[in-house]
Amino acid sequence: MNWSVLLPLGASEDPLAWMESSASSPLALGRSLMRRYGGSLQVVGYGKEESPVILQWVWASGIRDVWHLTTADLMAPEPMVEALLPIYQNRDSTVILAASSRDVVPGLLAASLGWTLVPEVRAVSVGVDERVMVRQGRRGGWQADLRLGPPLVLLLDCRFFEPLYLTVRQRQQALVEKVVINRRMVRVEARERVMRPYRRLAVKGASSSARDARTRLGALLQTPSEPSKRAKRVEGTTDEAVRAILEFLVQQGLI
Amino acid sequence: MNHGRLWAFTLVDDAADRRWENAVGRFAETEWGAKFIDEVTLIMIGAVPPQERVSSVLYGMGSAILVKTAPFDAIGDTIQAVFRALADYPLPSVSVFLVDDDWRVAMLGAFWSTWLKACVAANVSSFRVMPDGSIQVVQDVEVGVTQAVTTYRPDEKVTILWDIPHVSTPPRVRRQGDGLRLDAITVPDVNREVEVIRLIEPTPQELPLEDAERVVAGGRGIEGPDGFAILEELATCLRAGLGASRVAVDQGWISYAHQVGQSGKRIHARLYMAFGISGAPQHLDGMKDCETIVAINRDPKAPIFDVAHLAVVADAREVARQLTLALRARESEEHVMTV
Ligand SMILES: Cc1cc2nc3c(=O)[nH]c(=O)nc-3n(C[C@H](O)[C@H](O)[C@H](O)COP(=O)(O)OP(=O)(O)OC[C@H]3O[C@@H](n4cnc5c(N)ncnc54)[C@H](O)[C@@H]3O)c2cc1C
Repeated sequence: MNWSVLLPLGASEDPLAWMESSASSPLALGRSLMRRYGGSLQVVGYGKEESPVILQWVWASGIRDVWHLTTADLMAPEPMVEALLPIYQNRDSTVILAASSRDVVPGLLAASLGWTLVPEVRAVSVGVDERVMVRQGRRGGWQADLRLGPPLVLLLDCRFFEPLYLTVRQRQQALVEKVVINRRMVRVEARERVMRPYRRLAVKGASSSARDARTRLGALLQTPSEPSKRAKRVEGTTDEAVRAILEFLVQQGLI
Repeated sequence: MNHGRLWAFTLVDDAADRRWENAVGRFAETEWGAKFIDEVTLIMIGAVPPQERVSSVLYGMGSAILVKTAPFDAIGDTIQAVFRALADYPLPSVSVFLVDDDWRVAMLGAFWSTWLKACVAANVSSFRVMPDGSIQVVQDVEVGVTQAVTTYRPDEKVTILWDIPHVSTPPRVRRQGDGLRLDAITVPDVNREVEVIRLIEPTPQELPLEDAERVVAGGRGIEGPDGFAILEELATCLRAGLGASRVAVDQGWISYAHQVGQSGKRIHARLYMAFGISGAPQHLDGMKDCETIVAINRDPKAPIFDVAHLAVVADAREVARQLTLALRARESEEHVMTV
């Protein structure tokens, strides 16, 4: 199995804080999966930063297949995905590990490669048949165990994984060691973008939003009446109270 | 001058999943330049609700396409099949994905934009269709500090991943008259590469309160951690989450993750059962929007009764214990009847 970790690199991040936070957990997971199940491990960092300390640490932790893609415009994800594609083409037994976040690059990459994307991943292991076993969190506190074949993109729920641990010695050594990183500068088409101070968005008032919908559709809009808040009252023995609650829950269609 | 179609996408996981109503309601409340678009269509994907339910809450959409399919536990071949089915309709120039805390909606947007060969704008806080057909998109660069405004040309297809604003009041429910076109299609699950080995049911301790359809909560009147053990059994019977007042949390009877109220969680469950909770304004703040409230309190004048739909003057622990037994008896009776 080829494990590949996708790491978005923020420009202003304090590397130590990064390492101690859950943001570094895809890397820690990649390392432990490779140690446990074998195969190769690749780390692909992308972002604005020129020479991130983080990738030097990645090198110091023993990973030799390290990539760094930089872009001048982080808000245009498509050129970044274009640049990532050649790294993954013809790598069918690859599993990409990325953190669940607001970043759309892993999603666009999975879509462009035609790979399956699994969100909300809480645990990863490999079965006897080289299939990947995943525990996934689902809505309402449910979880599911899934079995999948590579190639895959797994979006990790980082709360469930340990951050990376490097000794002080490893970190210090990283700064003096010569590291070999595959660097690429991603070309972006300049798009008109204006930066402005933050403004709260406009939400319509009740009357204007109703008016807008009415003119659009010529529809008659009505607001349903508030449910009566006057409580039905029960006083008596515990048995009577329990009976009343059961009846009420049945009546409301709640049990 | 009008400029083609806009599709607004939302996901539905199961019959109890009503987040789409909030998503659609928020979308209708936001100024985005609807008057410059010919037709707005809601695309609902997943365990779609009955058509009557959708048409009653469509908030200003002109039509809807309900795509019934398996839930998106993995995004792969099935979603590609959904896209191919949607290609039978005239495709939109603007696609808006209504993104809440569920990352899958944004990832679906990424897959759609790749499939449609459209530009993608992520983390969008607002957008506007301009009179000339161009689209202005506002993205947060640093929340509270800087935003970027990007303009897309009228001839560009755009997929907007729009972050639904967090507003504490629920969207106004407005009913719509005739004139809405509804189409329903079914796409079979073709995600052959994904095998579900087992499903693990949540315990009341794990069930996130925001997601729980029912919540059983305790306050000082439940009288200790053993009181919460009783409530946990009741919650298991009802498949409910466990809630608590601040006093119960401060006493260390249960963890902070379960606190409901102004400084805890605000919930919108279908059922809220309050055991030994007085109903301080700070607590009411977190649960008063629940659809049905049952309160059990020894004090007939407890303020919680003012918001309750069923007010039970009784001992909280006793009622919780007896109710659990009654529910279990009822469940085994039903089991016998079905066997
Ligand atoms: C800034 C601020 C933020 C706050 N945020 C929150 C918050 O997020 N959530 C929150 O809950 N509180 C919050 N509070 C605290 C809030 O004001 C109340 O103190 C708290 O909600 C009271 O909790 P309680 O109802 O469990 O306890 P009490 O108010 O002491 O009520 C206990 C109730 O149990 C009843 N009772 C006692 N024994 C029994 C029995 N055997 N059977 C039945 N009933 C019985 C009593 O009649 C009484 O009504 C906040 C307060 C402040 C100042």
